[in-house]
Amino acid sequence: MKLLRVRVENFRLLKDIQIEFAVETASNLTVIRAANESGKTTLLMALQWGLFGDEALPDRGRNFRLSPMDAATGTRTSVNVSVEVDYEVPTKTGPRRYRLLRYVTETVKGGEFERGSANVKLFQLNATGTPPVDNPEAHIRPHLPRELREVFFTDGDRALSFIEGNRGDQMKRVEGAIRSLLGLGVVEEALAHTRKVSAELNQKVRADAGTQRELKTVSEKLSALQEQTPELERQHKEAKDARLKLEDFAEEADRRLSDALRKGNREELEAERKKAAAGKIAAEKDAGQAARDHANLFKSILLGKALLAEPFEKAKAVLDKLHEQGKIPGETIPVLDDRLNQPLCICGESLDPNDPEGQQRRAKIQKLIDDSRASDAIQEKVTALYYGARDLLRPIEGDGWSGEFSAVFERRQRANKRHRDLGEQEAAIDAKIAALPDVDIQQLKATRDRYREQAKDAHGKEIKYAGFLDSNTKDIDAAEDLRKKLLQHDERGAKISAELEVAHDLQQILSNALETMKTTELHKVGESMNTLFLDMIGADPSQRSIIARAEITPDFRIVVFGRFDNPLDPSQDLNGASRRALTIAFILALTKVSEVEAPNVIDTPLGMMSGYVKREVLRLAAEQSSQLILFLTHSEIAGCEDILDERAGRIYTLTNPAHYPKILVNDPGVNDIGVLLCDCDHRDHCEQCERREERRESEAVAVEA
Amino acid sequence: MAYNDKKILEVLLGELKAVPDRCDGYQDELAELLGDVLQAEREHAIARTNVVKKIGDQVNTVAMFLHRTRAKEGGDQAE
Repeated sequence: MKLLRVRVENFRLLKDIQIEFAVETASNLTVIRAANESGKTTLLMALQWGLFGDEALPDRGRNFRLSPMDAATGTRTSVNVSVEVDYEVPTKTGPRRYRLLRYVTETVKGGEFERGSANVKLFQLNATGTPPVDNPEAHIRPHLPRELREVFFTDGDRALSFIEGNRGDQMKRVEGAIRSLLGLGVVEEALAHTRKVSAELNQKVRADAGTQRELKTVSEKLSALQEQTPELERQHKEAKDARLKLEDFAEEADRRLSDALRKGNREELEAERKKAAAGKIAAEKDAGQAARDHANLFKSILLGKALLAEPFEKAKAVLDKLHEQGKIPGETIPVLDDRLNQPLCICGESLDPNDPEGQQRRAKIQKLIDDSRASDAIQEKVTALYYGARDLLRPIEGDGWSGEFSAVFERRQRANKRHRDLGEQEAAIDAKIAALPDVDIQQLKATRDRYREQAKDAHGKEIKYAGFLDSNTKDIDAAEDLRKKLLQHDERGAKISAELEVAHDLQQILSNALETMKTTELHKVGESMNTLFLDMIGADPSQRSIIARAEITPDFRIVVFGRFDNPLDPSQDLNGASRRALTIAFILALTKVSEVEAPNVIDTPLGMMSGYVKREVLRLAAEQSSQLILFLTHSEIAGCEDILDERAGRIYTLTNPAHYPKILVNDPGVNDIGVLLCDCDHRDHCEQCERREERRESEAVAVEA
Repeated sequence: MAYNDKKILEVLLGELKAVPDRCDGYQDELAELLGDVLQAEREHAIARTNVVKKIGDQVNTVAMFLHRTRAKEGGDQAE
């Protein structure tokens, strides 16, 4: 299916807009360029309303006004809102074109409105005219299945719902998209209906069994077994869903626990604070002791020795000299005194007082004694000084006072720093405690563990019901074999037996096809998504890229793996650009594998992207889509102009006149609220759409030139 | 945007090979039946129909083919 044209009248900001879409294979891209608040999302909504009706509107259209806000501000007025879409569908005889017209009248007055029922008309467009098609809703549904709308009409943010939000919802959305596109739903329905056919046939066997007791028994048994099957399937699915939900809850609780623990565990923080406070007291004591030691150093001998080192050195030299001269210690007087008491001098001469010579000698000794006595006081002091000040005069060992001073100073500094650090640490812990959410870590742990336990129980049930289902299938097969044998006795039985065989074969095919779709086809989607995604983000797993691969699990979850096969949470571990690239890769892969030919209509898909990723996403989206319609802002286009040159078959620009004069250069000259359309492409602008930013850029280029 | 039943049919026909060929031409009949069932389901999704009866009738048609062919093959063998 391809969109050819849309015409929108009186739909909110869009008073009268007509757009033709590019359909050529080589240039399949249509770009609607518009700044924010210029009607991109409104046009996307109008297109969806035209194709699908009120269900495409917010809250299914309840309290959602369609007519322009400036319509009938004073008097009550009727406004006709309409969207006309031309599209083309492939048929065996070639493409067939249709025009779908949806219209409704709104009665408005000021902010109030009333809307009647919307009408739909469908026309076939052929060479001879536009004949209307009866029962248009029934006719268009095969062309426009409602469940495919979410996949093919999306925006950059909404597409993220495939990988963001709660895990159960993510999986449901992914499963929904896959079921719709791969046709799982229709095959499941066919299987359920075929089972009913089998059950009805079995009832027929029972009714016809008559006197054949064994046939009656086996057909009754089969009925009972077949009746059990849907219930067992329901219970199995319920257990599986419960398990997934509980695992989801457990994961959520675990995430909350990790967040809380990252912010801090209150008990651990209290213990840390106590430790810091105790450390601070010890550091304070150390600092005090160091301060005292510091003060004592100023009273120490060492300081004196350090300060008087020079005079001490001189004194020591003098005293040493005196010592060497024998003047220290002073021992002359006692010797001389002692000699006067002797009759002979030490030289052997007489010291007899009666002898004149002896008397003369005695007088000389006495004179020596007297002379010595005169200097004795000084000598005594010098001797005391020599011996008493030996410690002072001894050379200083080690670094001396300055060394001790440095050591104590450093010790004091260290203690002060430790005290300050611990104080800061204590304050930081206090701040953390104050900022802690009112979360009970133990409670969170208990909740997570409880969910895990419950998930384990649910898993047990899931396995149990899978076993019951398996037994049920085996019992049915055995009973069917027996019934077949018993039915072969007569013509009528053989006919019913043939019917049962066909129904059985049909069931088998449908059941196996479902399995294939859920495994092989799903795997193909995953493989294709992985290739596209890695190409889009420029990741090469062989070159140590952070992202190694992406896949879809059998329970419909999109998962990403990093290096060493570490699982990454796409919603948390990928950046914005990669998240968008992943979801767009998923949509493109699903479209490709399902071979559903449909336009991909995406609003602002390249937001949050830049450089290589932006260009690759655009290039691959155009390459992989049968038709691509993008609503892009000017900044999304920037850097991708050459790709648009090549791929864009049609480009339009929407302008909101209310943006004059702040954004627009020229006054559009209109007073009503309504978006204006022009054919300006991604490299061009006209008087109507020229923006101040473009004017500045062109002026800068001119100045540079 | 229309569903691609060709793709679904491809998968279904792929599974057809695993079904025993109960008589000459049986698999061709089943292939046609699969297309009819798919068509019936699509119609039922758009406008509710008695799809079980439709499928039952289609099953019956193939079953009668199977029964007749078997009878014929049995007769041929007897001759």
